Amino acid sequence: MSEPLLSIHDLTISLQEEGGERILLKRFNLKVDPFKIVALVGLSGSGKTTVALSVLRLLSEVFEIEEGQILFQKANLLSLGPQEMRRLRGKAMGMVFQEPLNAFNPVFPVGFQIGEVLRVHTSLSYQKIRTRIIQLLEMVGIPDPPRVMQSFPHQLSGGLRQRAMIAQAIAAGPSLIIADEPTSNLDVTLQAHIMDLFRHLKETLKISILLITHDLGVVSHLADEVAVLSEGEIIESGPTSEILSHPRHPFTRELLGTFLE
Amino acid sequence: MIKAQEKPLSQFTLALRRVRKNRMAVGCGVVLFLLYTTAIFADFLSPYSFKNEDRSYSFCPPMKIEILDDNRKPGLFVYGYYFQFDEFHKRIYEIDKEKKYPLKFFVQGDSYKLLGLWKCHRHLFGVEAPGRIHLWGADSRGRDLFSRILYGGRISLSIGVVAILISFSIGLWVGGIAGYYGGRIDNFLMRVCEMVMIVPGFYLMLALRAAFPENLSSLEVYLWLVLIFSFIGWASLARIIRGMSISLKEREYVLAAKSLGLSDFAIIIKHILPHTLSYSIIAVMLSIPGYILGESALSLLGLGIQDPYASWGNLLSEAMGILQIQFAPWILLPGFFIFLTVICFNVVGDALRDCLDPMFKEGKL
Amino acid sequence: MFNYVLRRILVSIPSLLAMSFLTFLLIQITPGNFFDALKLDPQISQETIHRYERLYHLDKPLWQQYLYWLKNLLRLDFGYSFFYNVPVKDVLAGRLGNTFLLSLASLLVTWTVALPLGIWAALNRNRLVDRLLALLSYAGLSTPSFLFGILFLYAASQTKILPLGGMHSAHFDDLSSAQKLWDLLRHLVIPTLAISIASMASLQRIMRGNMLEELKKQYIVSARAKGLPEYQVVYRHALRNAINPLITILGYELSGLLSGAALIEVICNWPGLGSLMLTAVRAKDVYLVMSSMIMGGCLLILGNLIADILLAWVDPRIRYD
Repeated sequence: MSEPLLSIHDLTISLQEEGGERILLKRFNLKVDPFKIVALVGLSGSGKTTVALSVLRLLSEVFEIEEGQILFQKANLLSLGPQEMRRLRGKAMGMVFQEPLNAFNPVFPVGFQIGEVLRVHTSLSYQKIRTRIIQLLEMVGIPDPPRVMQSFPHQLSGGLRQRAMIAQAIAAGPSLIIADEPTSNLDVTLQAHIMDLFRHLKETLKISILLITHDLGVVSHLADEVAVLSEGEIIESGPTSEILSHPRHPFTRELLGTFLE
Repeated sequence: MIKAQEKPLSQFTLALRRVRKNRMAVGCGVVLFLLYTTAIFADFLSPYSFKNEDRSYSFCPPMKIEILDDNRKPGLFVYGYYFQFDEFHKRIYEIDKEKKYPLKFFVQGDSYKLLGLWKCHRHLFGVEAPGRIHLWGADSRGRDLFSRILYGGRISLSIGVVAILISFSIGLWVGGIAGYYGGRIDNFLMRVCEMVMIVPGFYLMLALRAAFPENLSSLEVYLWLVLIFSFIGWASLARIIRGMSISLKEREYVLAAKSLGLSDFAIIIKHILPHTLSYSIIAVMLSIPGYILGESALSLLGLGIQDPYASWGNLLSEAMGILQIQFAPWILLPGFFIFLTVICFNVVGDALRDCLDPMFKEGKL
Repeated sequence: MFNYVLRRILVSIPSLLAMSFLTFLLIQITPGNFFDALKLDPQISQETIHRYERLYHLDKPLWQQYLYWLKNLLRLDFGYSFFYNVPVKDVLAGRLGNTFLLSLASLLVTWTVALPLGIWAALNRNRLVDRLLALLSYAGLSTPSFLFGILFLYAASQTKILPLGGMHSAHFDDLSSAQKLWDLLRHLVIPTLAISIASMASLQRIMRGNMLEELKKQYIVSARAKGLPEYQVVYRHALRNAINPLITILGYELSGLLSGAALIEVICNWPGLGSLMLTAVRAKDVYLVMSSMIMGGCLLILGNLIADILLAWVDPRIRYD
């Protein structure tokens, strides 16, 4: 068995709220092996996005990491300095957000924003970057890349936007993609396309994906493994086929039940 | 299921309770209350009427209230002041220790009508003639600045409030109707608003002032000023209310009322306007400073309240000459009061808005 | 883009017409006119007065008077100034430029000071710098500009660093071009500062608010997730978006700016449109009053137009609707 790419140990995160302190994640454990798609499922508000942000260490100050480790390629991310962390973001790990309209800056063309990743993490020339962006856009299945490159986010359709977002995430060649509800805002046909895209990318680019979702349909289609999050803890995890056919925890069964309806 | 309609007034009191935690806002609220109270009771609180002048005390500096005299006898009093001209023909005031004027309370003084109703002679404090007490100095005609500032507060503080009540009433209706009906009525009303707003305030103010007839009594001047300010201000209030009205007319209780067959008029009155109340109060509070400053500006230029009546603005017109400021800097005091009033309105208005904003966003309003 | 500009210009025309109508109405309300004074003057014959009245169409019905007046306006004939004894046009031109200069200077100063301060406050939220700036801003906002004008003039008189108002020194014509410029700048300082303090204060607070708002948004998280250095996140991404609403405000601010400038012009003796208007009002020089008012309105419309165009240039979302 190879070393896991990402390994979260006993992560405990609390949140400062008006009423006091609330524990968001309690001794949270998760691992993502290389070239695997791992799904993290749970209800809305159960802390899934917090997990994603904590890996990239993008949590705001109201969150406090009480204890735990986040190991990425054997380094504990929680003990890295800001510069080192910044070097990893985008280059070693990429993130795909739920609502690409909000995740893109509305005043810059899409190509420019994808190019930023390359400008920061590589020393490619302007021309090479341009070629690379077109390559990336083609890779994610976007027709007419030059036109899309010059377009502003609000000018693209939802599907194209999400693909562009994925192109941005893979631009610098990361080994891990964290996708936070990547299909929740899309209609069913688009969802299928994006899922195919993810699968295709996993095969061709040899990346791992941490897929955060509340949609078990996506999980069954895409994920190799699944971990179930409830009330801040992982209550169950394992290969997808097993968990979906033989759920052990009552909560998982409930989740499955609503899905099967 | 129809959401129960939140009572708009109780929401406002909820917001008020939250504001109470903000001590600065509460402090400013108290200051405003004090300012308005002293304005109402100006005639009682000031030793002299605003007209009372004594040229031998022209530009008299603020007087110190003495507690102990030369013989170390205690008691509150002021010395007599007399002046001499120096080589530049400037007045220099000296204290005459021979003349002691004890400070008395509830003295007989200039007559006035308390609250406009009862004839009175008593003032809170004062000294007997021929002594004079000028706590904050005197102006060029020897009129007590303390008294005139208090009286001035009446006009400066009230013009804003009266004018805004009128602006607000007009703006409320225009905005409510425009927002609710939309379409051509909305377009037309908003064009009218723009027409008024298109000319910069100061220019409009001057032009309207030019349209005043000459030789008006002071009351008429006051009313005209109120009219001018109301005319300038209603348009921006109308736009704010219109904006709120537009977002409110989609609310469920409005749709419910419509389905019940309520007339448009009734809906506007009973459902839409009350909900604009909270924000309106804030808009009003934050507009009053503009009116106060407008009146000050106009009076400063000699186009507003005329002598001998006092407003903080026309009190400052004496300060326009640099020489005056040099040797009688206390004539700038009315400026401080304008500043104080404006800042208090701003603080309270902002605090209220900070409290109401999240409530509005959560749909509780 | 060109279409957008054209559309905006076309939309301004009804506003201009409306303003001219409003102004005309005001002329009618103004009781008495200069002719009343002339009528009392025994040296001027009745025929002369009648001739003037016919010249200004005062014998025709109201709506015709309006049309004549409008026609004249469009031919840039603003009527006659009785006070100055020259056509209004001659008086206006110079004054207009001066007010424009003052307003421009004020805008420049306001934006170059307030924006960085606002960003600084936002990045140091709730720390000493932020609180101090908030306090100063409140004070600056609440002090009437004319008070600043008076205080600054007083300070200038004591310290003799800057001239006491006016626009040119007495010996202006004898100066070289460079010296003229310097003289002009020195005279600009006090009026510009007096006007600008309040707008600096308010702009600073708004900028701070906007920056804080933007920094909370999702695209900022996304930018950081890409590994962008913090200065790029703040100054390229957040700032760019924070500025947009300010440009909208610019349009509204213009009205306040022109008003504020007018008052300060009077106090500091700056020969601009505002002080002209005041003189005209005091002299009941009707055409001068109304023309000044129209000019003020035009400056405002122009300013709004420029602000709209700027906004479209800066925010791609607006151009295409």
